[in-house]
Amino acid sequence: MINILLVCGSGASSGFIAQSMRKAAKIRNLEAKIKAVSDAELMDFADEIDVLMIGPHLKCREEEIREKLTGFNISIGIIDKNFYGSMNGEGVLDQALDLLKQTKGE
Amino acid sequence: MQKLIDWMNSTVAPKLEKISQNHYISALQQSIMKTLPMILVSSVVTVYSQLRKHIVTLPNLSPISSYSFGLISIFIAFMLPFYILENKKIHRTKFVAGFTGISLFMLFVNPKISAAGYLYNFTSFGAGGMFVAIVVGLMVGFVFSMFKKSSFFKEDSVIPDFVKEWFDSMIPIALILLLGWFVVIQSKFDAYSFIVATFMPLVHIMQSPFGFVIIYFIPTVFYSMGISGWVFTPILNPVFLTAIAANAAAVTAGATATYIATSETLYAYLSLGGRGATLPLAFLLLFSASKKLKALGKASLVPSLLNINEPVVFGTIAWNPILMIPMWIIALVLPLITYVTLSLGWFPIPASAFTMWYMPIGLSAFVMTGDFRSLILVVINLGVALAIWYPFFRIYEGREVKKEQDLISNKVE
Repeated sequence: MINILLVCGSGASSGFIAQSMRKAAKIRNLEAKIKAVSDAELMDFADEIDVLMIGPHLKCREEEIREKLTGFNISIGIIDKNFYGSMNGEGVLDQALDLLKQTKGE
Repeated sequence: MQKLIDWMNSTVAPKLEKISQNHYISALQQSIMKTLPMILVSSVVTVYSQLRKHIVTLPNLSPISSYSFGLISIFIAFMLPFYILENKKIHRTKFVAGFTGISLFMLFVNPKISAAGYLYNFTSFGAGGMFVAIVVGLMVGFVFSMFKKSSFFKEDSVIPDFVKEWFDSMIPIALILLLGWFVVIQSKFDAYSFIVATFMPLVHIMQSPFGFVIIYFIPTVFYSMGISGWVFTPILNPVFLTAIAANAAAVTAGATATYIATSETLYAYLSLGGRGATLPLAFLLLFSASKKLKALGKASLVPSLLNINEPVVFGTIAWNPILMIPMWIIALVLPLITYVTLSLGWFPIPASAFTMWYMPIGLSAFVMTGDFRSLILVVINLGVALAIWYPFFRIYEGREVKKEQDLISNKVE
């Protein structure tokens, strides 16, 4: 079971991506929990997630978010802006899985 | 253009990054975000109240609004110190700091003390007191983080740890409340009115035509480059909320709303399909001759109808000068049209708190104003936005179509 969290300003636009990612995961028979929230709610989920994908428009806050999440075992990445633009959930899912592989060496 | 983009990337973006890493600013942003559900409840009451105008037998639910949005300053006074300490990883005293925030805020509100008890003016707890709550919150957060390391007792003291904790959190609380007591009660200084008056110039600047255009233009420029304008919310939101509360109070008192710069005005008239009025662009994409653009249009249509335009922005606008320029022009022209026509009284100024920004345009304008004339301005602004998007879109589309044709002819060869 992989737990992926998407974060953007209000959780609205990333909500659409999350929905599309859930579809992609279902087709692949991948057991994943994918959720989108606003950045203010981020810390409420810190202890239950494996991967955090940040919306490209919040890139300037990446460092701050990483700092806040030190100590939690979370792979953190920025969503590719082309995937975001085309609402490509499959692409973001691949991105998240790659990220998990790289950081956890699985 | 390229130079400007490079400059934004190399100079401005890192600076924004610095600001966003500031614990106090980030705490302010988080506190405001956390109170949104309370304002949202008030928005539902707004919708209901429009309905009630037509079905007068329905009960008056506006107290629901008073006990949600109407208490926003108290919420902020708690959240702000809490988040400052959380961001600084001082978890030990974050709740106590939040409580102290409420205490100092209530002190600053300075009730009338009579034989009947403490008499508070309820409106002091609402959006009008936002700046007071922010100043209080920052002060409390600062004092508590000062006391982070210094303890009353030595490491090897014989006093049990829990007793130490009590004493150590007592000192900042006592210090802050003593300060409040001295300023407000002992010196009879009206700190609340003083802070509100101090921030009034900021409110007035932002309510001027120039200010109104600028506060829409600058975040839109950042957004057109794919950078969220969140840095501005701590400055803009308190002013917006103060203004909409004042408008609502004016209308309740039988006068007319006067403050134009509110987030409600932005949602109703400017951000048609999302910041930068991208709804016409989403439709242009949908009917484009380019396959890529058509696909983008399809992907972004539903979000666009709900005023969510990150897909359009990241799919086509961000770092693409051909579409960034029209977005900037729109961010200047639409606020100008809106300000002028609203101040002439041609169209209604939104006067009730409404933060359901994802309600489709037109409907949202009607719910906020209860006036069908508002739809005329929505249509005018949509038309103007379309006229500005169109020529730039055609240039962009032409290039994309040519790219696609080149790709096909290359494959054929």
